[in-house]
Amino acid sequence: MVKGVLEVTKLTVRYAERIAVNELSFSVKGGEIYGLLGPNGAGKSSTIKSVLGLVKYTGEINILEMGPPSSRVMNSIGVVMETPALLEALTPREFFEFAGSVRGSFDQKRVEALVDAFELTEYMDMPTASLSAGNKQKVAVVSAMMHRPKLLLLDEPFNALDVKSVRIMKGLIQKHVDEGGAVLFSTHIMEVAEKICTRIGIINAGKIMAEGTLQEIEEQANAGNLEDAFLKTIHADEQIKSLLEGL
Amino acid sequence: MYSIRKVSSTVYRELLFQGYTASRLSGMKPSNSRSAIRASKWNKIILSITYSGILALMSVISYIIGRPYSSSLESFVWSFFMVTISSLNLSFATQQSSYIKDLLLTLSVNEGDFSRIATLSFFMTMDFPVYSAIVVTAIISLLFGGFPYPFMGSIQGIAIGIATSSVFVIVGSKGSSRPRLRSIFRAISILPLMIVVMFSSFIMEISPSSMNHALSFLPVTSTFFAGEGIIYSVVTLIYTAMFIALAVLLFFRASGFILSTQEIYISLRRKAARSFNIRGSISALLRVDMVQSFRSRIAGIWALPFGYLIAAIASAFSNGPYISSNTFMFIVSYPLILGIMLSFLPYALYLSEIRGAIVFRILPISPIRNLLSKEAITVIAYYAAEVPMMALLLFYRANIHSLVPLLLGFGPLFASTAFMAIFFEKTVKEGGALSTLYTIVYGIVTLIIDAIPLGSFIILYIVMHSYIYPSLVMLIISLAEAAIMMMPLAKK
Repeated sequence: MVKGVLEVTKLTVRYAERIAVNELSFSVKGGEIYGLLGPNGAGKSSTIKSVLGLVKYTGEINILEMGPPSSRVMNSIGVVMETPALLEALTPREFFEFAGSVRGSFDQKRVEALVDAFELTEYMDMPTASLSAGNKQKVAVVSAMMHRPKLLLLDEPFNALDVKSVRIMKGLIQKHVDEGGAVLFSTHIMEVAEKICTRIGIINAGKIMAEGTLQEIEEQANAGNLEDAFLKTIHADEQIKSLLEGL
Repeated sequence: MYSIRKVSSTVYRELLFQGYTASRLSGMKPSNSRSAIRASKWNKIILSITYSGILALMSVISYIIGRPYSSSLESFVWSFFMVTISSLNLSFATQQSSYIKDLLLTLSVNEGDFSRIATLSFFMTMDFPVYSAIVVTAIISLLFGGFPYPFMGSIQGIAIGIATSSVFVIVGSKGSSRPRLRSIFRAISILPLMIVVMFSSFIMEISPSSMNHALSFLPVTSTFFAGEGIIYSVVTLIYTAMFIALAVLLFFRASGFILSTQEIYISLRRKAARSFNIRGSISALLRVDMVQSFRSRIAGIWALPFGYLIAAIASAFSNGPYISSNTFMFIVSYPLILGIMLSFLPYALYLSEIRGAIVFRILPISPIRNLLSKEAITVIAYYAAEVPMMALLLFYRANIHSLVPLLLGFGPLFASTAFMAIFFEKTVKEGGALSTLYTIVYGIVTLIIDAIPLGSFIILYIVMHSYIYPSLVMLIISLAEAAIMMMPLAKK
């Protein structure tokens, strides 16, 4: 089993005056799905962008014991961004060819199987710009998984996917961790996190408010399910009650 | 009840912001949106003030040196640029502005008002440049009296500028079932921009007394003769009216596209099922850069080197003896201007796709590998335009040594492309807004990077009267500059 696939220590991200991530520390081990849960604007996407080296940050990030984000590390990472990161002038086929070529490895059988699973075959030669949001997301998912990466970074990966595709993707994620891979998974949908995450970190205003297994999080918050535990942890439960009373 | 002007102003700000975001180097949303909105608003004003200042200065100089007719072309060129540059981002914005229409319709804005809002918000992208060009040239024309060369030139420049911007918007928004044809059309649409650049290099050669009088009946050039008789003035006025009519027609046509982008659907030739073509890393990058640039709205950039080549060949043939007696100036200026034009290529390649930068970050593509692909494309484009130029020189029986600067002239371009890569990496990393100041700094540094090797070449040529050694020095300096700039990239 791979250990310490991703180590993040005292990560801080600033956008002008605003602190998006504030001295955040966590680690993701092999065989683990780490769920980063938080409300909108909590710093989830900024954390993932830091791990990818897309934003300026302070603190330490160590990926696969190879150091901070670099083009060398990217060969071992698969990424699904909140908004699919694709080259929209290319067709899905051209995009997979491009990704395979720059990664220096291309398992045609796996790509074909993923394309079939996500029912992309008929869209393979259409420009990505002309695809629906769901199909764009599927292309991003195939590209992220086609090279069997050791670490998957998933930022709201189920966005725009249909029920069948969500089920397939959940299965793929599970298979990935069963084979020793690691997943950093960001979402604000509690039901999804409850079902698939091994460990959870609740983030609010750029800080980790609670961390542990699902059971530990629920115990810490003295709540019966993840949604209640989440709302209690970010101190939103009482606020919601009074807001609803006022409506 | 809503005010059309207020709604238009809001839509204009959104268009400006979207266009600004889409045209940014990284294609990423700016992390500091407030500063981005501020920058996009100030860009138009700074551009208008700067260009109006240049326009005024050049026009006044034309009068002072006794060449008032030159001021018509000066005004034409600068007014044209003011309008086209300020509205250029709009063609990027149209790519993602259709949601604005959906939003307005849900807010009960009727179709008729919607069309007025689209027209007004389109005009707002260029209003300040239009007003400032008209005011400045009207004042100069009144001050110096006689035929209003600057004012007439400016009106024509504004009209052609509006027509060109409208064509950009229409071509950028329109879907097509024939992608190759669309790429070619996009390439052609940049021709007016190129022709105006070409015009600007001939300003000092204008002299109505020694020019063929047939030019007095051609568009734009007729203005040079407008002060020489009533018939020439009438011809100029007719052409001006025609330009205005064309501008109005295209402007209203383009307004229809501003907030309602057509769904782009391109049916490409179907390949045999299951065929994937895996290449080497650099070759895959090269192919993607080429494909993206041809399929995106910046396809027109490819017309620049070849269009300039055609212009240079036409100029050489029309001034036959000039090329043989002034080979040196011709040779020096050609790679210089071509280099400056081609320096847009890597810039365009880097921004050719929205969100492209993120893809390049999440795949194992080092900045150096990415740069090598861009270098290869710019060098290919350079030689594609240079080789016919060398053939032309041989046709004129120029000294074979005079081909050496052309052969090695890719150096400065090579170095400025490397700087472009640093600029790109920094912009992405900072997540900051691409302010006017940032762009000016980029322009100045690029100019310095080009000027050092080219300046060395010129000085050494004057001292040594040889083409070979100065060309070699130019190349060595350029490569040294490129190597220095690659160092920070190699660390990433």
